[in-house]
Amino acid sequence: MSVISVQEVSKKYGAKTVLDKVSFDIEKGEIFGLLGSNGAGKSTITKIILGLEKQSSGKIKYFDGKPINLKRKISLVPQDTAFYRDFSVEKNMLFFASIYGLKGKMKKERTDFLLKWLNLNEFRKTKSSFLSGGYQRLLNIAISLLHDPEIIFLDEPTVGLDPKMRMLFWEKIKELQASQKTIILTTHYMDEAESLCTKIALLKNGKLLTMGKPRDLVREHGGIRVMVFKVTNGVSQPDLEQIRKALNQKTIIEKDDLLFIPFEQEHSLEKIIAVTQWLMDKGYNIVSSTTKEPSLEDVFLNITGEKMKKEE
Amino acid sequence: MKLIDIIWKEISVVKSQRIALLLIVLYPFLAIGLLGSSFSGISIAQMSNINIGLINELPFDSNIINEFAVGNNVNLTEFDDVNQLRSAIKTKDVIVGLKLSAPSENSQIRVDLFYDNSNLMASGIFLEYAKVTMQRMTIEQTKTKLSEIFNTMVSLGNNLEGEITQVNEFQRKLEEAEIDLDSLEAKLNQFDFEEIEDALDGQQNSIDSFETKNAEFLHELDAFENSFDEMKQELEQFNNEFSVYKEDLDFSSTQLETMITNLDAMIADTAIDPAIKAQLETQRAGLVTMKGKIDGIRNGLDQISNDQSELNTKLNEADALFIRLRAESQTISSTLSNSSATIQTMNDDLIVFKESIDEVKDLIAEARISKADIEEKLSASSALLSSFSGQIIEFSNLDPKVLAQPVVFYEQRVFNVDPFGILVSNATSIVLILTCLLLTSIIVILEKSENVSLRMRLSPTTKPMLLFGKIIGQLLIALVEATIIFGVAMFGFGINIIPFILELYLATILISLAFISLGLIIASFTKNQSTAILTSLLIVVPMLFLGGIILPLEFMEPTMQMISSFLPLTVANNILVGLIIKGMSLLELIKEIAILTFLILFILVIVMLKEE
Repeated sequence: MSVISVQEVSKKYGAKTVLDKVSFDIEKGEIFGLLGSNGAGKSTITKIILGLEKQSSGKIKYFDGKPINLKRKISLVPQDTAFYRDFSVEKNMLFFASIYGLKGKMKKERTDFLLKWLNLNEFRKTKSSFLSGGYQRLLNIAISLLHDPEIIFLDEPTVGLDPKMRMLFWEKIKELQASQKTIILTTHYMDEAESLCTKIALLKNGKLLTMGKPRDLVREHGGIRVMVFKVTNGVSQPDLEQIRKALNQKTIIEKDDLLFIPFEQEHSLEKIIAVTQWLMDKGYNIVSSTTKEPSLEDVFLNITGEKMKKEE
Repeated sequence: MKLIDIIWKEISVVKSQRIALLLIVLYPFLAIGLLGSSFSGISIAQMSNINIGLINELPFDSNIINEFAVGNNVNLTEFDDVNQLRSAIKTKDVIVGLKLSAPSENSQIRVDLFYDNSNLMASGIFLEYAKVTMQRMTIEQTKTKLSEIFNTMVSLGNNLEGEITQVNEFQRKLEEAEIDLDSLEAKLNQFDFEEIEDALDGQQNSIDSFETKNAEFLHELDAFENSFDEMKQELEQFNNEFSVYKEDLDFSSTQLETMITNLDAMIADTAIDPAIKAQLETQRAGLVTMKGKIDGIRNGLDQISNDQSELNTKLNEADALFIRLRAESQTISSTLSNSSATIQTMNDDLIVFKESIDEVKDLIAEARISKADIEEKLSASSALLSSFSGQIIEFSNLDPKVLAQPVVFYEQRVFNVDPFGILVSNATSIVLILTCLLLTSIIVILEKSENVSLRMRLSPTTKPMLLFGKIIGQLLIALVEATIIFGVAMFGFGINIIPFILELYLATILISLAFISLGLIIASFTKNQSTAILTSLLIVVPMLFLGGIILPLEFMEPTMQMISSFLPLTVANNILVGLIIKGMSLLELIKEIAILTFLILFILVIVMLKEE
């Protein structure tokens, strides 16, 4: 079931087009990644889907067009914390529970559940501003989940977090997905998108460049695999030329005892074995061999022609 | 270097806040411009449209108040009784009320000053203003009066009657002088200059006639002398010719003598025939006869010559006579010329004399005019003296106490409340505006900056619910603030608010809502706390100055007064002053309530639209 269907949505600010006929569908239970550099249109499409802005043209359908109260079904976890810093954790939870329409026991029950689930229970009486950055982010998520939304927008949820906390976040996001929540994730971390997202949309200058499962995108747009051999004393120039001719690869390079050999992704294993055998036969001492696989980063680079910035 | 970097950072941060920067630039202009235009040349003397109520119970016509009104640009409104006056002060139709009364014209004037004691500064200023102005007016009057009398007394001395007699004597002398002038004029008029001129003209004519005749005589004398000269010349010529004849005769006689002698000799000569002698005898006889005739003619000629000499002598005598006659005639002519010149001189002198007489006449006429003028002045002076005399008599009847202190003031507070009561209303207004406006705007900005407002916008709670929840929360804080002030006023200063506590709280709610609304609209158009605070102050500070709390509205220009009367703080203060001090009901303050209600609704609509 498509929970959000974006159809030919455009947005203009005066003469400037920030979104140009963008279309995609987000299915229930998906973790949908919105990737793109600054100014790609991620924030604009997010605001339009959240109802904070109106599109200039195009249409957005929620839950296949069924009549719903969107604000009860949707939630945003902003990149920056969005709670009263002077309130305690519990007070923030209870207040926003009320704002999100929870009543009576539900407020308390939901607060207790989320605080426990996000490891915040021990801080419930702590003033929110006294929490560490990571826990403040967890509180931010906890508040956003108070009304048990079906669609959750996560805006750069792990920026600035330490690896441990980052892993915790990924774990919780996956748990949410497991409970059939639909998650729309905007992130600059390619590994995060690759690891979490079930589908990725790549935007540039307001246009949707490509969309698909991460693995498919890597396969289609990730480019070549690179085999790196470390050889004692390096490979002689004549041998290097021979390898280039044999593999018909002019881009093979040798630097500091390291030999870089690019391979097409398909049927590359036989070629790797053959090169390894040939070097051993020639009497070279292969210290190590590693393979550098293409990633989403490469996809982004290949499609947009630019590297993704790590921080906004 | 580090310090410079820090300083530059500070400036850069301020520069990056556009609205803050704008406000920083605007503040001086607003502060100076707004306050300057409102209170430029702030002084009571320059105030306009000052409404003063008046109850005039003076037993005489007094122009003091009119002078007061004209000299100080005030509008006077007369009232019949004190209650009417008090009501007018309560509704601010008049600022100060004056009740004038006095037992008699020469007694002290009692001035009851009814003043609006609901505004400490305004009431104090206007009270002092009214007192000082009235005192100044009366002191000026007293001073003028005393000065006039003093000058009169100095100038006239101790005896005014003597002065009047002297004036009368002066008048009498003037009358006599006029009679003398009349006499002089009559005498001058007796001169008949035409007759004198005619006589002189007659004399001149006679002299002219004499001169003519003398000239004719001279002319005739000249003609006669010429004829005489011609005759003398002819006689001379005759004499000359006569002498020639005489000489010829003498020659002829001599010749004849000679011839006779010669004949005698011949006759005596015997040798000559006697016949020839006889003939010679005959010829000699003929010659002797001829000679006798010639000698006779010659003797006749001598006679004639003698006569001629005599005639010549006489002619010479006639010549001498002619010379004398001519000399006499010239003497006469000269004398006549002298006479004519003398008459001309007399004529000239007569003209000068006539002109002098005319001048004297003019002088007499001027003297008469001067006399009339002097008489008029003397009459005026006499009247003035009589008036001064009367004034001095009147002055002597005045009570010295009236002159020293002509007006006695009695202050009458219109509202029965002490200064602390006034402070309660003012303090409540100021505290509410600061609390509500600043708190609301700051909290809204805080929620924006901490993304809480974004979260709320995405929540199922409606915008009106969020807005009204915020307003009511702020309202409760304001009510707590107000309750503290009311508590202090009641238990600390003994101001009894119980009789109107319900109305007071209703008014506080309304005022707080208005100020909260202002805070909301400030927050709607600002992005950070510093800008919100600056903007709040930008609104609050001018309202404090223009709201009539610190400085009286009456000090402002009329246009600014009108604008100020619609400022929320002014309206709020009016409501609280009305309730706490003036004892008015909310119904009487319906205008102020309507203004605030309209303001609240207007702002809330804008805020809702802005949120959308």
